[in-house]
Amino acid sequence: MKFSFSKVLPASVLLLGIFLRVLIAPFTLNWDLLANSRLITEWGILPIAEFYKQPLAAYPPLLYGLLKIVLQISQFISGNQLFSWLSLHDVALLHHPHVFRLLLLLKTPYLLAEILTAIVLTKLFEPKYETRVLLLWMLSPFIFFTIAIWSNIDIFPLCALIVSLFFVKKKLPFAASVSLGISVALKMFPVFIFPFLFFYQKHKFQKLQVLIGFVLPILITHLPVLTLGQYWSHTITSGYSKQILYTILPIGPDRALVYYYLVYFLLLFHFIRKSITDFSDYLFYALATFVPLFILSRFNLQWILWIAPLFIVYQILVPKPNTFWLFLTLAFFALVGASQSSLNIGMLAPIESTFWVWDWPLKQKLGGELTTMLLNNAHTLFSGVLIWITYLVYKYALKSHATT
Amino acid sequence: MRRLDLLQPVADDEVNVGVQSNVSQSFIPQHANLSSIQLRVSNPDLQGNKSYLVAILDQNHKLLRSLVVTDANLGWEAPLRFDFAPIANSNKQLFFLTISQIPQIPEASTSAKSLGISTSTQDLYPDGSLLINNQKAPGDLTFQMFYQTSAGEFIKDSLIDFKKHASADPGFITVFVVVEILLLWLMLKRLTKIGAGKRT
Repeated sequence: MKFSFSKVLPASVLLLGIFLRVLIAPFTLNWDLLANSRLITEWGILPIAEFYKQPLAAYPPLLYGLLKIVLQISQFISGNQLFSWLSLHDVALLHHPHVFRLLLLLKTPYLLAEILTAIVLTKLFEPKYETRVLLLWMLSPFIFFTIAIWSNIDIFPLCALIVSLFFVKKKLPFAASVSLGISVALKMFPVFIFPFLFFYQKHKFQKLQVLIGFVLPILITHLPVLTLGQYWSHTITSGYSKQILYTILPIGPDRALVYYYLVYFLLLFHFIRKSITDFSDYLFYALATFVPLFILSRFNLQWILWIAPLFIVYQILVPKPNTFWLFLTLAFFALVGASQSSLNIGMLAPIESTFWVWDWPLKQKLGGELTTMLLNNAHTLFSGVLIWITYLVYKYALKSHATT
Repeated sequence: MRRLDLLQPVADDEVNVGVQSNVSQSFIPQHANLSSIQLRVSNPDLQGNKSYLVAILDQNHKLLRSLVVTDANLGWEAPLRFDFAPIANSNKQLFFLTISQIPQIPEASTSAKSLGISTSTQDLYPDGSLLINNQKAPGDLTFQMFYQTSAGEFIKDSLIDFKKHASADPGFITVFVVVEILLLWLMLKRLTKIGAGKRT
């Protein structure tokens, strides 16, 4: 009997995905989850100016506000032990008798947001691809690594972004712009997509509509921090922003071109010039916005989540995608493997706490120079295959109706 | 491979090691082959030329292992890692870790700033005590202690400890197993339906 994706019901795929996530989530931990959760417990307790004085407070107020509510519910479900557990020292927390249940509880909102994202993502494609998209998402090593294991907080703004794309497809520009505004109100990253949404609209009234729909949620949720310099310095000019805009071309004294912006503007001008009207094309440009960031900066590994939907578009649209997808996966996980242990084996610390205190075993073994060379090679391969994949998606997106 | 044996992670205070004061911590390893100790130090005299003796003594205060470090080896709020030949019979034995400044001729010393060692304010390590100039003091040193083991033993010990840890929360493990079986059963039921549909 020949196996066919289209014969497998989406519900089975969802169940398989949930099974795998529940299997791994209680036994893995990244420091980010602890740091963010500890920070969120202080939201609403500390005055907002004091809150944003903390070096890790780099997200907009909406994200902290939402997650504080979620955390309060989790605290209630845990029988009021979650907050006291979070206040323990890292390794003491790992030895807590209820560590596995508390980790699953803490990760559940992330997993729910991820599943919602997957379901909405399937709606961006033709119904015949539904099961395949779901399968690609649920079994994607990138998604599995960044959410079930890492608990990347970016899943919340990404979810809002995918909802925005769904509304674009449904030809509901105002709803799309509000969703995109909410996404930006959760994290600044997707702000670069707005010009594409704006120029995608053909009439002046629609353009005005999307501008209002986009700005309103950002403005409303930023009212408490509008005049807070500390907030803006953390979110706009923080270390992460500097990291993204690191690659520059000096053109004179105190003057340089920022490569990311340069590529971004070229992409935007290309979009405007082509007068894009097809959703497949819009989808490509919206998702490709993040690509230069991964080629031109020493990106944080968990950010891979932002281009994971592009990989799925690639796997759906491009014939015979497996070879390059394999190269991409190998390059990314080579980067993960060669990084400090907290980004790879250290995440198994709930099972073996020694991993939590390991520093960077590979670097200690190979030395700094060789480790850097390994990372550089892996990043170069990753960039090369990412450019190639993006080109293939571009080539096939423009003549595909898979998303219509 | 080295595996974590003992740990006192809290560092909310500091004690100083100087010419007039040495610091000790008693401890009881839970495994044989103790082979590494990591402390947290703050050296305010990065360009100094003072030397310190880090030593492990047995319960009779006999010197077992030692390391001499200088100001040049010690950073500000940095780990001090002391790796040594494994102590074969360390399991459940009492030991002392001492840190003391090695006396120098006066002109060799350029600064009176003393080395800080991270501690907890409270007694958090129940099997040992912090000693300052051999007198019991409140708190404990901040430390990580490791024992040497083979890769096979490392995995075996990890799995044994993981099993113990998981069985400390039987309520969760029961719910976890039931939920996983339920998810698998539902998935298989769906797939069987598809199979039946195809045959008809």
